[in-house]
Amino acid sequence: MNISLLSVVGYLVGIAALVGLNAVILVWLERKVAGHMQFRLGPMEVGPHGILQTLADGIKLVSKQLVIPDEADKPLFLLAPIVSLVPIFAAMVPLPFSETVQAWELNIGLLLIIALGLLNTLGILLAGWGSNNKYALLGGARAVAQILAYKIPLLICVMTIIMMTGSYSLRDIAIAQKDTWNVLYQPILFIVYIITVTLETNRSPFDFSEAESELVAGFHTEYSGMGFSLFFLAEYSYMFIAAGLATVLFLGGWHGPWLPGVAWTLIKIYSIIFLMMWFRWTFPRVRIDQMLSFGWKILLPLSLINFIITAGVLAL
Amino acid sequence: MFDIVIHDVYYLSFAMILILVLGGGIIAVTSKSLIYCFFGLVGSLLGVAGLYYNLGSPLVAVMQIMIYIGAVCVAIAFGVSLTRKSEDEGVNPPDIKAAIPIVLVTAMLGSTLKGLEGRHIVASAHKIDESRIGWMLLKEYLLPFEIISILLTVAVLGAVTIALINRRIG
Repeated sequence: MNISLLSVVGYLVGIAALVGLNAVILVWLERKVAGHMQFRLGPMEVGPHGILQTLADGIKLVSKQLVIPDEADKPLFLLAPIVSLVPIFAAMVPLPFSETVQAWELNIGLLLIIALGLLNTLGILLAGWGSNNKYALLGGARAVAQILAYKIPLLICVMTIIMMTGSYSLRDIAIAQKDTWNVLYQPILFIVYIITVTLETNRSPFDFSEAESELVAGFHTEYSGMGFSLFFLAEYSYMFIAAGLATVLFLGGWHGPWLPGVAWTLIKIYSIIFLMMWFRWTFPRVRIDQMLSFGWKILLPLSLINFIITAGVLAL
Repeated sequence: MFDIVIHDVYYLSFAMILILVLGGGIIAVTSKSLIYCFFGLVGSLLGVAGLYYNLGSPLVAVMQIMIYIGAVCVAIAFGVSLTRKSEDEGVNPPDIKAAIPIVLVTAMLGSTLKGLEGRHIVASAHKIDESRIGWMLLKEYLLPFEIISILLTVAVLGAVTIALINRRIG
């Protein structure tokens, strides 16, 4: 292990830049997509086509006061956004953007990302409890309830791909799809993955822990200024990571004609994110009990049957 | 100037992990609020994952996070969010009985360290391939592996039965 401190600092700065830039682009894209889906224009004033709108909003948020409610549990309240954001810096490390562009090749990269994704739920629970607000607490409790319903199908999905490739390394999985993408072998699994990932990133139609029509703003009801922005930074980064995993697991990673690998990876990642935004403005929010029974009664058996069939085909 | 390598950072990270493990553990045991106990436990288990990583086994570290934080702690959080006990009532403060396991564990650790005193310990750090662990679990240790899963099934069935009985009475 002779990695110099300089390269570690380099990775951290690179990942921090990626997290920030990604959030700036995605917030703008989300508002633009929302606008065009509703026959509006979205933000237009700041910069050409409103592209600098997020920067202006960011400056506004930074300059705002972080209000801590009197009755809130102060240490937990302050810790929650940090717990939500910090695992991202580690989860982005094994994500490959091309054959050579990758922060660190880990032979258990896939497991690391999934394990760190779990910490986000803890951040939401912390926020829900620390705010001492009934809407926030309900949001936190919902986040914990739904984790059990989506994580198991998600893990089975990932396990099927691991079984097909024989490696936990994201790089190996992408290399194995040089000729045929996994999505052609496993279309059902891809749908299950996209649904579970929409659940994991708290996106509509499964945004139960936010649910603005039911819970005000859910777990981040009491957060203002930077606390709120850190949660959003975390949410958009988790979307990026989830879409990045989908790219590597199902869409062949950096493989594609003509363009360089990094460009293909980014095109695929942002296409999947666009798909998730599309969901948000197309489907109405389902009820939490509907989603829980959907997770346990449809997603889990579906992914298990798919797993068994794949194992059978591979054994032949 | 920049030739500091990871090896030098190792001791710093070890100290930070120790603070996380011990601090989390102390919060988990002594705190009066149930949710503080819970997050103390999470911190402590995260620290243990860090220890595994520092000992050169990233697979075990990731598994520790996945199983203990992803499964066990989430199940506990689920339980905590379903309890009716309000925060004001709090958890019973630790009494004199809590000292017994502390004394026992300290005595055990102390005697172990005393026994090891003066001996030269060589750490055998030959790396085991992850795939070998998988083969061992599915071949040589298949029976213990399956027995553990039966144990878990029995525990789940027991929990369901208890919940059903309570529901009928209530």
